[in-house]
Amino acid sequence: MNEGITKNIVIPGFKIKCKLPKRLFDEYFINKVGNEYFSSIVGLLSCGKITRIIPYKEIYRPKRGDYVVGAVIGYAPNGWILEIGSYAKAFLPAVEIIDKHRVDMREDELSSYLSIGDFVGAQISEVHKLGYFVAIVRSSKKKNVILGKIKEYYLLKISTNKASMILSRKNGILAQLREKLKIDIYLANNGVMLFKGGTHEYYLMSKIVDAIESTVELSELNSLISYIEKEGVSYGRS
Amino acid sequence: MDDRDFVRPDGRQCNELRPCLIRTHIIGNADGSAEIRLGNNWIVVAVYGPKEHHPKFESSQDRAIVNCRYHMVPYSTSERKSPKLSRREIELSKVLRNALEQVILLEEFPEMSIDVYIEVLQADGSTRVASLTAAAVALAEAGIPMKDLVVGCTVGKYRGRLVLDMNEEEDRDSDADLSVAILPNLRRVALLQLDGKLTHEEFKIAFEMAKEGAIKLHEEQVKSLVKAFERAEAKG
Repeated sequence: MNEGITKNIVIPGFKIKCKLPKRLFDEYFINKVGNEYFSSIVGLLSCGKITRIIPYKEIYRPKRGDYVVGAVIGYAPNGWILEIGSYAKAFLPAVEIIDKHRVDMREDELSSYLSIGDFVGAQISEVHKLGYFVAIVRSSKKKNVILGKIKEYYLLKISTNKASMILSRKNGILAQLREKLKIDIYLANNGVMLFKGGTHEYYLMSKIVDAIESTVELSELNSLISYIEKEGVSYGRS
Repeated sequence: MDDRDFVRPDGRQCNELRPCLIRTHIIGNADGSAEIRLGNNWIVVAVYGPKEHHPKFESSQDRAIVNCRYHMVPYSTSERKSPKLSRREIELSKVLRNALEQVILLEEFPEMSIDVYIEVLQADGSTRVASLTAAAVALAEAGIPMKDLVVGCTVGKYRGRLVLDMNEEEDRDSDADLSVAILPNLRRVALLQLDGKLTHEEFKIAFEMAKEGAIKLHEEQVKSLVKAFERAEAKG
């Protein structure tokens, strides 16, 4: 399956010798100097049909349309400030939560809707060049995600590079997990995993997160499903 | 007397580096960290960011700002040093910041800042270039995109000879001290400082020696980062 793919560890400044596509997907990881390409981060270079660098550590850079789970860390005059695990904060306008045509800040107390420490599922609608993001909830058309205030869900964090790898595979690991474990699982682009359940589910999911974090390539994770099933049995659910 | 017969106070050859060890992930709370032990030098670097810059009016709209603090702890030298930042430390912080700004892809993070804290726990000469070498590793470990790793080395004129990687004792009696930092893959110079006097010929030789020394240290940088990656892979 992996025929013709070579992999090696790259560090900043390493020259990339394999053929690159005309349009680079991860321009952020690859630095062009003249006609030569260099790696700009520490990661695993995979040369094959698709040349890419799997980063060792990635700073989450939201894109328009990303689904994120953020924590409310402050109030703005007309909305909330969310920490989404990126280099900058996201702004959630009050109209996205308060179900009114016009929000009057003299009447509507923001903390009665969302207070500091609450978790919110939202979609990134704007990535401003000057380093801030706008999140939306009500006007989002995203399906199969939890939007708005998050209640009765467990939250676990995985690294963002792993999250993007999982989410890029349609009907991949997430769908298999949902099917086999019968757990309601959602994964945000910023690496927050949401799921419902009890102690047993939490135990299983924390095992899965550990397994995801310890593998560099998610192709290896196909064997994880069988491992999870085995774990589920060995945990002793009668 | 030939250069090969000349013995330095610590028994090294003229073009010999001190033993070097670079380790990553020293400080768990930092986004990236590294430690360098170059001879008796012991330097720890922690990197935080990119994060929002405060105060906002000081931030730059087209690039991130690098805040660099080079500090020697009171017990780093043989005589107690005041914990307050000295004029030398303030100057070195600026010099190191300028060198680091050349390698980080700052335009990727406008309005943000990246903090680099350098703590010299034990000083034994050539601390500025050793700090720079460790800072580059810490930045790479933090996942900050960089054009190349920056690596530095010093060459001094000690008792009429050009010697590589001077220690404290040699530094005190030296006639000249040349600090060089390079980007080994891009073949660029990031830092060049000369204290004292060297002839044109001596400068050429010293610069080449420093470059060779820096390339050897670059191998250590690569080794430490590859080890960090493999460790992460093997974890669990």
